[in-house]
Amino acid sequence: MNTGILLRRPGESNYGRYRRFLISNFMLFGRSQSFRKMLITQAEAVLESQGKTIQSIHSWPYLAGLVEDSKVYDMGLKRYHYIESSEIRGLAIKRNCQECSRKGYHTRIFDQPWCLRCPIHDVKLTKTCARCGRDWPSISKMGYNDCRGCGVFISNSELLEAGAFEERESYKVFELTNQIIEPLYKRNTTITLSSSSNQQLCNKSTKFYPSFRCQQLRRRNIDSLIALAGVELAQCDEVVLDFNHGTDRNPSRSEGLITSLGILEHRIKSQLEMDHKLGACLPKALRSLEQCCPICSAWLLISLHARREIGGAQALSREEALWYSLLSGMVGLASEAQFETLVPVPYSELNLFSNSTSSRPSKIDPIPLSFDVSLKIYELQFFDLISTLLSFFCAISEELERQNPTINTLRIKTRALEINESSTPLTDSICVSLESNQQARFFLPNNSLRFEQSLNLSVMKNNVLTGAK
Amino acid sequence: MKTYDPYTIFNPILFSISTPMVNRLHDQITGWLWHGIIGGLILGDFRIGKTHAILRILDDLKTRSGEKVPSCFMSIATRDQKTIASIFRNLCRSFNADIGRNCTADAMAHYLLHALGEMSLVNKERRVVLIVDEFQRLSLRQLDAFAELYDQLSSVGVNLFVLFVGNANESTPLIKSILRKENELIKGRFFTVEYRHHGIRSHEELKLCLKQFDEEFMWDGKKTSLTRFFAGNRQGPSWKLASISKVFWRVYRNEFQPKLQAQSWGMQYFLAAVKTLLVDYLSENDLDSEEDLEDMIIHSVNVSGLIPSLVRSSQ
Repeated sequence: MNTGILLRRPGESNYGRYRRFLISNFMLFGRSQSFRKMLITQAEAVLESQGKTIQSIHSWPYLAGLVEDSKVYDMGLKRYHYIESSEIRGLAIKRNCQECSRKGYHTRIFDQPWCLRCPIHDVKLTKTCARCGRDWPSISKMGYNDCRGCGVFISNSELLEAGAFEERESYKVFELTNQIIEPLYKRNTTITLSSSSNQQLCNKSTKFYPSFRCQQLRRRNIDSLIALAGVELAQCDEVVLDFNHGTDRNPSRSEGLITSLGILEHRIKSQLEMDHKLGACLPKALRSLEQCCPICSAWLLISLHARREIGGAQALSREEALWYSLLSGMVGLASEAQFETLVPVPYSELNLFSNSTSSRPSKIDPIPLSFDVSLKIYELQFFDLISTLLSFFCAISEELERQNPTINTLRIKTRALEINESSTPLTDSICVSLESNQQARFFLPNNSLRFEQSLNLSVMKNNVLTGAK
Repeated sequence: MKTYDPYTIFNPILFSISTPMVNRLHDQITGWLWHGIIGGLILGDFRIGKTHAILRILDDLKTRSGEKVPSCFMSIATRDQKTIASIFRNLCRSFNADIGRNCTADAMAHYLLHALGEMSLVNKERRVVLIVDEFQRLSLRQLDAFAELYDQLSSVGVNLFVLFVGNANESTPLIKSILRKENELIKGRFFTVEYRHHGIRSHEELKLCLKQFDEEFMWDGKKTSLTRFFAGNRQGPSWKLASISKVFWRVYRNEFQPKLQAQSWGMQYFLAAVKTLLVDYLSENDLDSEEDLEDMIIHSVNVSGLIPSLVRSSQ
């Protein structure tokens, strides 16, 4: 039996994986009994090779080509993956791209609420197949579907016509995005807060951090801050801080969380692992955007237009630009010429701190500076935004650590994530205004240079923050 | 040191030795692969060990960068219909695909594209070798099946190398028709190169083949060789089969080759003769004189079937 690996593209979902398995076999076998027997025999062999108990396999076993490694032929039974029917039978997808579907592809990204357009084909994701007009078939119905758009009886010529065997580099953006989102999926299952504790958190945190405004500190902010601090619920009880102001009252779990925020800035430096960095920003950005985000429905192209009154714009190195574009999901689509227009934005120029934190020493005097950063957002620009935010936090925390390790207040004000451009930029915080026409704008304050200019834009490379100092 | 069951010698299908002819064949096919040739023809007399040689080198084919080149083996049967679909069906079965009678050629081609394509992913050059044994049983029209497969695989970036293996004499009619002008397309695609596979043709080759019986291996926790295992008790543990190569070759040249007028000594007959000599004669008799040895060799070659009784009776 084939695994359908010729149709594999990066970042595919289990749905896509099973579908390509069927596409590569069903033209020959269909739902024949001989194929069923072959599947059962193979499934039993797979289970046996994995040392698992062989259950009585009923009807149609769900066996899919589990190959990430391209050297599938040498992998023997390891190239197959058996899934319990109960786990997968009803698996359906919410949305898919018609063009991707013709290639036998689906990714979990398409099911995300903020992803509305296919970044590869720039078409709207739909809930139904445009060819047959029916809902995208569930896994159990896939084998009965003879539609060329969403079924599994797709001939080689049709696959060739759809470009199913062609370029797949640009699909790496899905793989990367999946890597980013994966921790989020996990976190969602571990961090749960009730609405009452949310309110409590808001109230407490307002006292604890006066600079936070209650309205701003909504659940998503709290979650993200918790994630940023790397605090797991299970660990909260172990945090011993004098949150109770000398009283004997045992802190509640919520309070424990708030307390843990107090050690936020100390943890940032030591928790620069990918997971935490992602966990820090992703929930915040994702949840903030999930209801109103227009940006993730379009393909991304960044153009940073810096108008600086000091110094010259330092262009990104080619390598940085490539990584930058990879994170942005531009690979395969943006021409290299577009990289030339990218300029780095020094973190130091993005004032994420309140001016009121006057206790923080600055090694150099603020230099008057004004510039606009406009993000022209197309598909998956969102991820670039996230990666940029990640880099901000990491670099800032690093800078904080370097300049004044005793500082105990980190005010990262990603205050305004508004849909409307009319929102007034704050003078002491970064403001991202998202417009309905899929453009976003960073409004940055004047006179905001706070750190050394040599701390330039960093990009994520191999999960390691690389920043030129 | 490899572990080997010496009794495998009695299984003519499983038992084979590494010969200089096999090595030459391996080098030839590797050369074709490395030079980007997409098809070739291997011809040889009957029972000289073409199939055995091919099967022996199947797993050793490598790309220039040392990556494995996977291969698929199919043998054409005489009872097969002379259709393209029958080729696809035969090939599908070589992939253990249990297919019904009503499968269309399109569906089978679809399956084969994926099957061969998956194999090719083993190496970066995306090469895969398809070996078609008993080439002489193919019809000219059936060769289009391989051309179609080649075209389809090319379209997905897979380089198919088709190696036809056939009996030299019986393949002549088919080769003649391939060489006709109207079949230039097929000829240019798969039949630009040809290799003649031979059996033993010289004393040197025979000696190298006999040396294989003196190669040591592990069996039952002990180091042994086929020669020592079967004839060691009688001839002594240090006695080598290769030491009688000159007599062996002389007997063959004087007694058998003139009768047969064969260009080479087929491996099947050679192995059968050596097996008889080793197991039945050298294990039981002392080598008192060269005449005795010659007698043993003659008897062994006679029972190997090199000269069929029908041939002898006509002489």
